[in-house]
Amino acid sequence: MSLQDIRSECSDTAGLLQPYVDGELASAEQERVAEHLECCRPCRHAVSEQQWVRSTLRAVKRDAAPASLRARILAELDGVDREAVAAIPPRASLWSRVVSALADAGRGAMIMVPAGAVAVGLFFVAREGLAPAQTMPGGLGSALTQIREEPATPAVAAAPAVAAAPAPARPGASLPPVAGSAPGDLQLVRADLPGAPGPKESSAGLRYEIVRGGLPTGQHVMLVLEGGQTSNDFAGLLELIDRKFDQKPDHERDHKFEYRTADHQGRERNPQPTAAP
Amino acid sequence: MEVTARHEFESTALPQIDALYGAALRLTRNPAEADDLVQDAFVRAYRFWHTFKSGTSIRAWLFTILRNTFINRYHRANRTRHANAELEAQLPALGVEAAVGHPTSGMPSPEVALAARITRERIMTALESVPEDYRMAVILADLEGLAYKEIAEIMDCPIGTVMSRIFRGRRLLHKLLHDHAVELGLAQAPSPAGGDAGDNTVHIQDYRRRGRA
Repeated sequence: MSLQDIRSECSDTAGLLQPYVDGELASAEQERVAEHLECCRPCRHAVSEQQWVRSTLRAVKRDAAPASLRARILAELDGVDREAVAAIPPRASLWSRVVSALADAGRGAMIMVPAGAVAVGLFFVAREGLAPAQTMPGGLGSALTQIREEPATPAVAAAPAVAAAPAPARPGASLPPVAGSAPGDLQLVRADLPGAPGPKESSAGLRYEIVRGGLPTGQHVMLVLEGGQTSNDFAGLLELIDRKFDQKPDHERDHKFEYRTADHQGRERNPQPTAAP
Repeated sequence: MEVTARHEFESTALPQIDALYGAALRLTRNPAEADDLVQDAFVRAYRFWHTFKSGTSIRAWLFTILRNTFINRYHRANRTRHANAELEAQLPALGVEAAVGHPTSGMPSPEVALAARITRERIMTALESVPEDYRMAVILADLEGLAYKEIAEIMDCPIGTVMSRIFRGRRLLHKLLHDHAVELGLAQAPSPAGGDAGDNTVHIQDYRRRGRA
């Protein structure tokens, strides 16, 4: 047998060694590898090393979760249930809840939010008109003013990474559709309203569930309040995203919202910005 | 949330708490953080319970959430990865091919029995010192017994990457645990050349000799 033979035989089976160890081969392949191992000591050693660690770890008994953890989780689930079951209050009080959610943004609302996700935050111009007087008297307007007026924000306390690394603003960028249609999180992290006083930067812990499709071409977005209450009845904030962005006059198009998204399993989405028209 | 959803969640997802906790402990290396991580993961899972497709693997689904929660919440904050870089640097460039060409520390079969004599604590400490991606892959494969396909789904990477992470993770563990075994006098020390003493070395020479022939 020449070296060439050895090498080619090994390289034929090299890619199969790992699945061989883990029993992921069809029986014919399994046999082929076994035959090769019979006569190839280097491969046999590589395999036995892997098998040894595998069997060592498999023999280890798993830690049981403490009973207190289970109790804590059940209590949290109760909390989620309560929020979901609670009747949707009248709009005015909904908005006061929004405001208080913003004020408490450092708490529950942030828990679900990727702390470092601001890196993929996209600052864009929502090309739509915000008309609080028309759609949401004292509602949306005051909620978003509240966002603006939060100084360095409570959210910062809970998620230092957010404060530490603000995403570069991309004024003028618009948000392209997000691939896929799985539900996920959309977190509003910043809102600038022209004419309103206060700092330009802010952070809010609101979370949205993208119910279908991406943004911002008229898809439906569900607001998730602190604690997970969801509703599609939050007409005001919904309209921020749900409205046809190109139907408003220019002077109403300069509301800026920065948000970040993650899919339902927490993977961040990283939409590529496109140039503003 | 509906009563039935809650019931389903408790009977389907919650029984995986030990699996998630075990992985969380190895990932965070800290019981309090593991508690928080598992709690966050379950709460997230519950909120998005309607997205779980029955008939698919509940464990893969939950581990995906656990991993992402871990990455989002703990990893970016202040975790440093270079702590493990040094450890990894001790090993030459790895790969299945490399292993085939240069067996550095084969484990003779009698040493399989050694596993039982290395303490659980030692094994866990070793596991925790393996770089995160390799650790996760090894946890899922060896502690949880998941299939490559599921691990690929959880780790959001191709199966080939899963295999190489498992391979490298085990390789590191082997080194760590084997060194420990040598310390205890339970195993033979490798030769300074890096290969095992004895017939293995002979074999390599033999192999090379044949190559020249």
